[in-house]
Amino acid sequence: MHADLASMRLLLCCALLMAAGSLFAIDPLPFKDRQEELRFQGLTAELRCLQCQNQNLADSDSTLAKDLRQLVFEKMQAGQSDQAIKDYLITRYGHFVIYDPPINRQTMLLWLLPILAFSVLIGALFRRAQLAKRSAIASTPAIANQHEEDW
Amino acid sequence: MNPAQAKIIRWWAILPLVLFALTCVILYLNLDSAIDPKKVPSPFVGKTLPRFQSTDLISGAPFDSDSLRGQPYILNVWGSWCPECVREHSVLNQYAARQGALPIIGLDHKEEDPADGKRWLDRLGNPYRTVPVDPDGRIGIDLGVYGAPESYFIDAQGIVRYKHIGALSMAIIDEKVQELSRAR
Repeated sequence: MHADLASMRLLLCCALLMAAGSLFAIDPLPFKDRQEELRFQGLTAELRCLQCQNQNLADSDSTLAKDLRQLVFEKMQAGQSDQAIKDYLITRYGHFVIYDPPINRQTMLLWLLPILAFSVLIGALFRRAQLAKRSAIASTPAIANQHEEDW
Repeated sequence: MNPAQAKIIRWWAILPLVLFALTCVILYLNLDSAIDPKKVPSPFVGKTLPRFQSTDLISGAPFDSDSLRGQPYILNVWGSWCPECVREHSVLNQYAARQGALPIIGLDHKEEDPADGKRWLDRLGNPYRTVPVDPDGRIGIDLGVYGAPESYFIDAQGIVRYKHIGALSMAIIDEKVQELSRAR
């Protein structure tokens, strides 16, 4: 019984230590409160790391991501808004640096394609339903039933 | 089932296959294309590069990018920590030795110890007119640098005409320098 408790304690300690390890992987920044920390996390999650693409600034361990995190933090301390910080990075690295692409000529297809594909699909389904209805009216009930099985 | 309807069904049935084939072709063609996602185009192309101030690695003299106005030049971002820069360096040396070569400014980016940078230039040769230092990488960030080597081709008005990501070759230097002098 006692031995069990001791091993449980040991296990708990190990688990906590492992969690602590992942916390220390993030560079310690002196946030003044939880709200500021959350704002920082939100902002760096929206920004893309350029060195290790497909990772955001919050996740990346590359040197550039570390430097940019520090920069974002300092700009927050200086009282800059999220948009001002994003604009600063966009002027330097282009829209590639944010995960939310703007709607312009280059990205038009990206934004419109899902809507287009969806409306084509709806149109096709509607057409099919109409055709089925028309043929059901035209043919005898028995044939119409056979028809549905075909579909 | 009447024949007209059978035809419609067949047409829709092959549509996904056609779309799939089309996607394959597009993806295959893009494998070979010049579009490299690792190379992010610089928004500074066609605009003036932000002004930056620093000191020279070797002499310690103050450096101001505004002093370069009026002549085209190449701004090369390097660091002794960067293996690709070693490969590129012989090309830069070769180009700088030519008569009428544009000045090359070598931004020593994120050098932990300036002695490393000096030793590197002693060993491999120094093609740079000046070597402004950027130990904490802040100048680099301000210029939109995200790795090394990177090179900016800047015209006499201080406007970036081209940014190269990765090691320069003599062919690229020749082509882009020619474009710079044409723009002048």
